[in-house]
Amino acid sequence: MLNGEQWTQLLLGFIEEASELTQQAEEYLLQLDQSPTDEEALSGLFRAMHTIKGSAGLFSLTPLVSFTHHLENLLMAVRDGAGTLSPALISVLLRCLDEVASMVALIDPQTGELPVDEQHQAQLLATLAEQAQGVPGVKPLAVEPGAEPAAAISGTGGAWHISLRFSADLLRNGFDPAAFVRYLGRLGDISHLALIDDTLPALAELDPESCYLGLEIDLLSDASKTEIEDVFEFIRDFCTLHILPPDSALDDYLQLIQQLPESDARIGQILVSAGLLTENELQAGLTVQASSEAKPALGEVLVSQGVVPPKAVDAALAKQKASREKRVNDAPIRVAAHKLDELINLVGELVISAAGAQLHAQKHGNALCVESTQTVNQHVEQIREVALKMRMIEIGDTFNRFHRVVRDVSQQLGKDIRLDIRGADTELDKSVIDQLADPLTHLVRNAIDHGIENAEQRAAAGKPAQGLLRLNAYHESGMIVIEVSDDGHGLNTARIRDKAIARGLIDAQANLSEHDIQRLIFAAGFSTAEAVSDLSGRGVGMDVVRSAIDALRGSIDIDSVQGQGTTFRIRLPLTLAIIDGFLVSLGDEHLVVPLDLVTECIELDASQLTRCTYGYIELRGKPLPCIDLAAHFGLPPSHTVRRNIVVVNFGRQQAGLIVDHLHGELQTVIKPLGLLFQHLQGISGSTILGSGQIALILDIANLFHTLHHSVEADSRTNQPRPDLTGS
Amino acid sequence: MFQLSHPTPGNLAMAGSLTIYEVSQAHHELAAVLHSESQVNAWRLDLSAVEELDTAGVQLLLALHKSLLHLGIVLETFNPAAAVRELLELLRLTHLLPPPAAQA
Amino acid sequence: MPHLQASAAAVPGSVQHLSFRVREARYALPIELVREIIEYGHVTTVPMMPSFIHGVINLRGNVVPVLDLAARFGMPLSVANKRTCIVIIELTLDEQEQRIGLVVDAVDAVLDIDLASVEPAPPFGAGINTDFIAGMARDERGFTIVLDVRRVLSLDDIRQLSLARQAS
Repeated sequence: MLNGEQWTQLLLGFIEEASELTQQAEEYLLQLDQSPTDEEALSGLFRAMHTIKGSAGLFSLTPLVSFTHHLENLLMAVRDGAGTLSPALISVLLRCLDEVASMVALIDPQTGELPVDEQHQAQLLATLAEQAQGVPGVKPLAVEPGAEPAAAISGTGGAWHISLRFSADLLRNGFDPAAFVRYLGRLGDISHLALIDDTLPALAELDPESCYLGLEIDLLSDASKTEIEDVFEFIRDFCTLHILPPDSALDDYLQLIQQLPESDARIGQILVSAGLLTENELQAGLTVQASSEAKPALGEVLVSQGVVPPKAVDAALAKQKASREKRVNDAPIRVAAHKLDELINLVGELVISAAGAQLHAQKHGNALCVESTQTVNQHVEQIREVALKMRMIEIGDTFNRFHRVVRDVSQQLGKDIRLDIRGADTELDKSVIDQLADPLTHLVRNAIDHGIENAEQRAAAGKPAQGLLRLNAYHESGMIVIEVSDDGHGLNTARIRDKAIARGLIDAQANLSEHDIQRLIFAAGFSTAEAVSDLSGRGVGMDVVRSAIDALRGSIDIDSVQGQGTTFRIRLPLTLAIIDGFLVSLGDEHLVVPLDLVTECIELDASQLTRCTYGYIELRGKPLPCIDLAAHFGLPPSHTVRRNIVVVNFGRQQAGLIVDHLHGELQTVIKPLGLLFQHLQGISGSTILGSGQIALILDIANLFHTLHHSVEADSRTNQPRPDLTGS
Repeated sequence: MFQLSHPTPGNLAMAGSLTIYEVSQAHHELAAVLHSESQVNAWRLDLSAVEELDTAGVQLLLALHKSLLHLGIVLETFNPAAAVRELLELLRLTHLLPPPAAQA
Repeated sequence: MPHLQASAAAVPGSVQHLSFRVREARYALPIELVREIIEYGHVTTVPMMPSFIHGVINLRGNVVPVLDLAARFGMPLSVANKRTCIVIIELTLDEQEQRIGLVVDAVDAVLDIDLASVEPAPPFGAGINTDFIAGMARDERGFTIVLDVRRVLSLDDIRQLSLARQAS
């Protein structure tokens, strides 16, 4: 067995790989659901199962091996029989993939143990067998897949002969040959096994961590040559492997004897004792061979596997090598996320210190110095962009997962819904994507459950029977926008209003716009479904979605037209690590406004505004609501005569932030404020300026939200209020 | 962790793990004992406390066996722990296990 | 670290404490919590927090919150002078390692306090909330109040106070 930590590492690698493969398999399956004749999807699906099975075997994960073996067999039969998968079969296969995923998730990486619900599996497989019957091209499940021609003669009961010589580094690399022997035992019956220790030195000369061993194994099995080869796939680089099919020609055995480094008689005896050769055949053969040239060096001949002409092997190897090299050049490199985080943190520090250097250079006014710090800053900026890009991944994978959700949930509800995905190649930070999955799932389920009507209702409304759910992503002024839209009946504002009144969220006399009423569904504890549905999660409302988005420094808005549909629009920053900001100050304190949200800066004419926290000025003929930040935050009132207004745009809201001084743009690393400040509203984090001073980062979304709260509060008490919608 | 105890001449006991992680230490200790213990007729090796064994450990036992054979010393193992028995049987190295009658 | 005498250290149950002054009284907290003591420097105000949360400082690239102990004890905010210090402590709050700075009027000494001789807090008269007091240690100079740091830094308290402050 591989030992301890290394083994766990390998197993963790497998778990990760297997969950990815299962995910891929599901995507292929859903593709087949759309276009049943898609051969590429079918063979992709097959390959995924085959790889999971093969690797699972190496870790002795027997239940996983046998379960995936069934799936693999069925898929192979479908593929070879040119059959197609019926929707019913796809449903069962989806459930089988869930089982595979749950098995993979249950593997204990320390012990390699895998608890299994055997009854559930048996049921699944029985359903699978049932559904597989009568599908053209599918043979009954019990039938083994068609083996390769070489194995066809295995019916005669002969044994495969497997000859292994390990390289000295095998053990040091954490591989234990015994583990592979154990796994080989699962493919069939090991009728003979001889451990070759001819080169093993005496204790005094022994390097105990080097491997001096070889194995000669005879295996009674119906497995194909590829399957046997796959057993040793992990140690391909650490061993030379010969496989002779059952009942090979005498010449092939003799050739093998010659190729192995040990004496001909030694290997010959092993083959004789295994019953593969008779003593006479051996003697006769060796006599003939003795007249041929000297035994070739080990390395030269071992490319041959005894069944293929060496030239063909060379060609195949060359081809394989070429394709492997190409793959290496183009292939992504797997890097642990924390290493990237580390890099990005360092780049962040670099951004701060470069800003500091530039500040000092400007203070001293040395032109050359200023110029060179500017160049440094340009490079830092490039590095920052490249570093951040490395964490960017396309949102497509996340979107594609919803095919399954849509299929399952709509089936459960008896609705026919098509999922339309747009902007799948839009990129955003991996950490953002990770935290986005839950709120998106909630929105999608909600749309299917409450948004899209059933077939009768749709027919009555004159809509096509098939409902449409759309996931869309695009970039807009430095943020990513994600939309979840449906063509359902839209939000019932009258009902929302009634409910909000019943819950005491608004006053019965409150005069709210349609949009304001729609936004009420984000209020804590609000749920529009009359009966809590099983599907959109018990009691979990849109407020949870909103707080998840808030946590990502994003915002969510809603657009709903009664009878036509609803669109939820999520706006998120591209990354959580660094922010492009606009630096302002209030007295001694510095604040950073996210630059993407700043539309313009104007000087405040003192006569335009009275000294109160909230008010408005006229901007190009329209009222612009303004917030005196110092007053809002309870900071000492400003003594500056000339003050400024930073106009920020958030979604369709616009407001002016009244500050003392404007200091311009900066890029800066976000430092979280920590536990003590977790309930602080309106501030999302902090950053360290080039001067070493700390500046707080404004959370505009939250600021607007808090002010909206005061809108709601004011609407109850009929006090004058700032109008933030600005439209 | 690997431990080799050597209470009386010709009597040894292994305990703990004998895997790729411990073989260097085990090799070192066995070589030292071999150096001083070349006059006995037989080595009796107690394998009852071996918790873990892998091919690297087996290889070390094989090398020990070979070296003792060379010196005309018999290697007798006894009380093999389950892990030892399983692996030696898998690799068909039953000659390193005690003869069936000697199992106790 | 200045040890008092071998005899004092040899007493089992004796624990080293850092003692400091806040206004006229002497306080102490276990030295194992203390990471460093820095001069009082520029503290960035964080708005809408209870007044005893003084703000944040830049501690070698890390943003560390700073509490004004006097204000936490209900006294007026500290006015910094030459002897004002920030004691940086580290403790686990809500399962996270958290560094926090405490503004004190002056740092005194390192004391070996024999836990056996620590008196319980009097029900009143100590000048601060009794909940904050782990005990009263006595030596030739009089009483030193040993703080219960977890109570002083209670997240629940801080949460409630900051929410109340923001709601107003």
